[in-house]
Amino acid sequence: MSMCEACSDRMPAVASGQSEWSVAERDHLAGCRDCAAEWKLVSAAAALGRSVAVDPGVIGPRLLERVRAAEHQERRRRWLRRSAQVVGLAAAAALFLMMVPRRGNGPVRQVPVTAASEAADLQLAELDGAAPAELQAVLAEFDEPEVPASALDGPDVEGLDVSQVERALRSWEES
Amino acid sequence: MVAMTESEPLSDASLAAAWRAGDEGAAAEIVRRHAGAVARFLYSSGAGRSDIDDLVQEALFRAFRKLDTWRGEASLRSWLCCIAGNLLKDEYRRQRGRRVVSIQDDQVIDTADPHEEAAANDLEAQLRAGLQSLPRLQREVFLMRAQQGCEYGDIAAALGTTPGAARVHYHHAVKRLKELVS
Ligand SMILES: [Zn+2]
Repeated sequence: MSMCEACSDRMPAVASGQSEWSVAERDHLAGCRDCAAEWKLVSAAAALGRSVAVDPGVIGPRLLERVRAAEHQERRRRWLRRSAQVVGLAAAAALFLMMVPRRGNGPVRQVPVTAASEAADLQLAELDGAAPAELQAVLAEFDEPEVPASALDGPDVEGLDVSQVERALRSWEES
Repeated sequence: MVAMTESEPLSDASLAAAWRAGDEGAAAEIVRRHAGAVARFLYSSGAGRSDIDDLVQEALFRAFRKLDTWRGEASLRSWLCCIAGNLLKDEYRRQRGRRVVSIQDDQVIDTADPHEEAAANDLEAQLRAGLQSLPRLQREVFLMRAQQGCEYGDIAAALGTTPGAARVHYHHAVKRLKELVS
């Protein structure tokens, strides 16, 4: 490293008063116009704005108050966003649940699934100890459709051509 | 509350960690340590004297709001100067190019000798005007180095460049300022 580079690197420390020039550095500055000009700039920059006074005792409390208020607002915004998401999800779920029975019982389903056939897959522990007559009664109840048969069945399409069938299906779906 | 002994003040990193853990005393200490330096940086970058209080508060506000992102690769001082520089740029844009700066602000130099005072005022005004004419990166690197005493590595980390590039920006700034400041 040249003496010019060494002096340049040391300038901020000397300008801020953390360090002092060595004799060799001082001699170099006295004889090197480049370094002397740089030193003039660095020492002026180090002094620049020293007369600008800010009071940390005033700024600090005001600043903390702002930071606290901003954080409070941020928490509130996050809470509102999360609440909106939950409400949105709940609405979507409700809409989905409203759609599901309609689709399941619509005309697409060619073979209506009886409650009894689904009941076969159910694990009903409370029926384990039931008497045969009780079981019969429960099974008979499962076999009863929950909604009137007319709603479960599709429209009567026998004897219609394709376009008539489509129209009938559409009007049944819209009903 | 931060525990500080006179012989061994807490590092900026420890203060930042204490603030993140909810210690407001640590925040007050950070302000005490750096508010003056941020003010000088802003003033030297061209901010008007009457705007300094507001700008310092805004710069520190921005800093505290994202102190979590300061990982200590750059010194806190250089990181704060970088935020202050961005703030000044935003203000300049917000005011649609109108200078946020008043280079002709009255200089208040506390010196007994009127000739010395005039010379100091003249040099300060020239330097401030010269700094305004530099590209932003050169100005900020020069001030972080010459005024704030930051190392090139710190400056590079704060500005997202390399120490070598920071050194080059500094030397370009010095070269240009030598021509502008007599
Ligand atoms: Zn030299």
